[in-house]
Amino acid sequence: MSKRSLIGTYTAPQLFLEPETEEDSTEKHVVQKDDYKAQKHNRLINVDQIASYKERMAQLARSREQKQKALEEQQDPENGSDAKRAKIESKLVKFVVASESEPSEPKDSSKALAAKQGLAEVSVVDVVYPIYNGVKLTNEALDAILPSGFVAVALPDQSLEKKDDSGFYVVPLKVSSAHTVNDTLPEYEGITMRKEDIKYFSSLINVTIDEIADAEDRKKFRAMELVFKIKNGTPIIRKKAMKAINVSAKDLGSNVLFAVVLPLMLEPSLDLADRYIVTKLLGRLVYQLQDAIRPYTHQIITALAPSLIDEDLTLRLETKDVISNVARTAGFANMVSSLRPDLDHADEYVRNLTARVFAIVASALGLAKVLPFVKAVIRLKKSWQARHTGIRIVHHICILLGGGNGALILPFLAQLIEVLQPGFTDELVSVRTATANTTALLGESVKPYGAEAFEILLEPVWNGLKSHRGRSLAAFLRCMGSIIPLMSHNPEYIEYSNYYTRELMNVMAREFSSPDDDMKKSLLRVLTTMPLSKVLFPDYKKKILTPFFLNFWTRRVALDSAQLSRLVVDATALVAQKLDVPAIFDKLVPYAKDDNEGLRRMACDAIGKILNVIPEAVMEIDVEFDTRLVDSVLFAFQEQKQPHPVYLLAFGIVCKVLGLRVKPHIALILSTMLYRIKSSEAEVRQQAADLIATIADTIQLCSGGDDTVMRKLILFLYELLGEVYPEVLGSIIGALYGCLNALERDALLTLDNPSVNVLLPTLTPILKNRQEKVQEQCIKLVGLIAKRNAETINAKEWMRVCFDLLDMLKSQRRRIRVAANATFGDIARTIGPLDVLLMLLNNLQMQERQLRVCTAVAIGIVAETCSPFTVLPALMNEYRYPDKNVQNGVLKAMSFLFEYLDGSTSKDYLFAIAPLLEDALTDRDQVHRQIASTVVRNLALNCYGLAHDDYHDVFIHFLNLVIPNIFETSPHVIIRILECLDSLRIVLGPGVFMNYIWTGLFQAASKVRAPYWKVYNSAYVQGCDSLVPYYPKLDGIPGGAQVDYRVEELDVWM
Amino acid sequence: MADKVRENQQYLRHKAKYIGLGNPETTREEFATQIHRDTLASIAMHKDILMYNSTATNTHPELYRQSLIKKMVQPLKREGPKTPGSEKS
Repeated sequence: MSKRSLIGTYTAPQLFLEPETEEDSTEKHVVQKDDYKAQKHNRLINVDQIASYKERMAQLARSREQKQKALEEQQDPENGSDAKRAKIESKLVKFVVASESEPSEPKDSSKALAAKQGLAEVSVVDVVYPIYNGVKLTNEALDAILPSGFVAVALPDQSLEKKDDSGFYVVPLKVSSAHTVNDTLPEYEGITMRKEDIKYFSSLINVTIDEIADAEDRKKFRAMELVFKIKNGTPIIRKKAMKAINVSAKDLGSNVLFAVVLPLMLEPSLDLADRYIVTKLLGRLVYQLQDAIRPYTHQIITALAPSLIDEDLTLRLETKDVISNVARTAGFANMVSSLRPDLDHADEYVRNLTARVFAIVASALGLAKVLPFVKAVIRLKKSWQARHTGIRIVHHICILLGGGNGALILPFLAQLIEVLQPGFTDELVSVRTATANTTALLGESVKPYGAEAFEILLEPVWNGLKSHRGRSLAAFLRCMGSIIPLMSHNPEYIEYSNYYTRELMNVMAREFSSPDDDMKKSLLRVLTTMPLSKVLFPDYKKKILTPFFLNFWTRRVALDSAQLSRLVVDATALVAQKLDVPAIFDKLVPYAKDDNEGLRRMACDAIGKILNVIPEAVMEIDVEFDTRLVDSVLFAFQEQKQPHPVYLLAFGIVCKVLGLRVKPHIALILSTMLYRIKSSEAEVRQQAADLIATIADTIQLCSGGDDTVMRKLILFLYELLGEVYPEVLGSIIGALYGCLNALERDALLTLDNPSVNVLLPTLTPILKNRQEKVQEQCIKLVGLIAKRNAETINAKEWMRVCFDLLDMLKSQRRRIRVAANATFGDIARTIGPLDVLLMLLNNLQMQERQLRVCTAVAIGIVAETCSPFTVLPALMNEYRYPDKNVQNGVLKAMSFLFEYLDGSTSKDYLFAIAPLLEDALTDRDQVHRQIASTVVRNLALNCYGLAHDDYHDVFIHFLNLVIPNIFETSPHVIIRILECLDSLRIVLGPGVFMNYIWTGLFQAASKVRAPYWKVYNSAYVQGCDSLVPYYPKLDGIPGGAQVDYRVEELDVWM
Repeated sequence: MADKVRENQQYLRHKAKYIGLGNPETTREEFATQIHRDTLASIAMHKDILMYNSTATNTHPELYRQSLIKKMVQPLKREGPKTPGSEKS
């Protein structure tokens, strides 16, 4: 029998533990999330004992039988408990409990009785039965398990136990005590053990491999050593050990390896990184051992499965991968036989994990294989646990394979629904609820298709809606709510959809007032998906809107949870879209002036969302209403205590959508903002500046061609450039950018106070500011000036800016580097590319890689804005400079250059750059070849369709130079080479290209064949049909079988 | 190593979708079978080639298509009795 299952007390129902105090046992320990997670450590794995399927099923049946019996006894307590007590008292057998953690409370009643019966000489009789897989090992349980003929051993005499104190030296057990003597932890080969490692790896320290005579023990030692190195070693040691374990996995044998690895997985104090590594190691072992893992499938899954509900995403994904590998290696039959007993395990935790594992198996082996099994499980009469788990399996299948309009699920939709159907008429509420939830998920994951398949479920679901309450009703609501959108998508079901929408809305309106959180969430989710319309609900204001706002737009919702309030906002936005925007706004606007900040934020969020999606709704809004709208959003903006981007967004959208209609309110908004930008609080100043930046366009629009306001605003902001808080300074520069951007080009030219000539020199020192926001905004502003009004400024000034910009390329933030690069292009356009280019080319000799890459990008941009013929000669000249970094930089610049240019331009330069690329592709340095192949790739892809016969030669020449690199092994290089080959295939067509490939597919050496098959595979995946005409014509294989290879159909002709 | 495992997984995923893919272990016979199948499929699914062939053989295009699809099951015809060890190479 395996000991893998759960030990500890919590699995056994309370009534088994303390049969006397049944009233107390109803008090349950409140289960917390961490408790649930912690259960993963409560399992035992013993690789030496492998139970067969039959044994495990028999054990399961026994545990269930016993439980049933206990239940029956509980039901008629007067005979039950008495009988039990009598039984306990009569058997005076003391069990030696193996586990020390087993609680042993002496039972007063039995003691008293024992004394009464005059059995005082048999010391104390504590009857503590060990619990095993939820089966309490009472005498009759043992009778059922053991063959007849076993006799209970009489209690040993107490005096016998203390016989050993003879004073002789006793050889101690072989346990290292090094770490207990002094505090330092032991080391093995220079790698320190952690505290938790000692119990697994202590034998590494106590013996050396030379001392071990037994071959089997040597293997164990070796396995332990490797696993330890992988777990605790430095990356280099780990890599070596990983390689070693890969090579020797088959020799060491699965038993030895799993005996070391699997218990390690259950160690509670293993930290995340270690757990990840061990999981990965397990994956490798499975990959290496192949069929040899079969006997251990269940142990492996037991060890792995808890990580499926870990908080860490990476670990979850890795575990999923490993499990699907296990499934592929072990095969479906083996998986079923090792997982089947867990399907109706007494513990919910185990069942939950089993469902997840089965879903992974289904996705790995294909639904077609697994579904019949799941169907049978759901139809099981005997145990509701199995049926529930079956439903959960389908649930997890939906999660794993859903998405993408259900492309992976749709082929099996009818079958899945058939599988789920019996769940709706189950006798247990929890099973029905789970079925409804799963069906809801299924509907969501195949949206918008599959209405036909769901038709048979309409009736049971509708009946379920009528006959359930509370949480289960919420599940059925969600289920119906996911079916209705499918029907409304299909014109054939439009009648159904209308009918059910109307009916469901009645139920929902009734439930709006429900206090249950789960119900609220379901209602909101359903509300967002339902096809509501004014035609369907003529009295929607009374029936939907009023109860909705009454129950969901409350301070309580705003305070309770972020998730719920987000759902409310989304639902409001969608309802507004489908029904009536002005009516909703009428109700929303007061909330934006509510006392509660949460509610104000929700209201602003909703207003922003609605207007963002349907800006034309503003036509329906009364002009008088504008005042209220602007006023309330402005109020909410001003009153924000916890700054949130939502307010700014909402205000920006309102201004943008209203457009000219904001004009009467501009004065109000501006005066408020100017007042606030002078505030003593930095936060307030920043918000005001941000707002100006957002609405600058609207201000300009409302000014009606007269830009005095704008000029004043610019002067005002210009004077604020001395701001000390960098965050605020960034916002002010942003506002300045917005205002300058809103001005027309002519107005910018005539700007006198401050003129652009003055503005730019003011900005150059700010560019040196270390704060990233300031840098980014400043670069953007400089870029704007360079783009819009560069002529008025001296070229020398621009060069100064360019030097500052070069430093920006060192920045950590990508956005700053991008902005700086774009600005280079703008400056180069005004002052000509030569000066800028010279500076950039010098920069290529720098040491830092990031700097060189950015410079290369900048060169690419300059070449793009000033057309390549101005830049390419200089670049090609620079390539002659005998420095690796410079040459690489030039190549990199070219790769960007040809990525940005479209084919019609770049095809003119093909012949010009061919010699350079030829040189680079034949260079000794592989980075040269790598970057050169990127250049070729960009060229080829851009010239696709444009390179007619004249240009074909160039690309064939490139192909000749690239193809020998196919045997590169460095990962970065080979990826680029393969990409390059793919794009050359695209530009040359498969006909020419595949001639290079056919020869390698069946080369004698496997190392040669491998890359050729890779190229063939990508050609096949990308365009199988275009390959067909170029397939080789086979007449026969020399030395092959007597097979006819001819395709007769190709020989047909008229 | 990690790359190799991932690469293999990706290959398997692709192989499940595109049956004609191969790797260094693919035998010549498998390859020949696949390209034979692809050719037949191409003839069956391109309307004009199908029409051309069915006219030449004087059959109904749909019947011809059916016969092509049936042929795809086992495209390579063995001429003589199978000799041991002939499947490799």
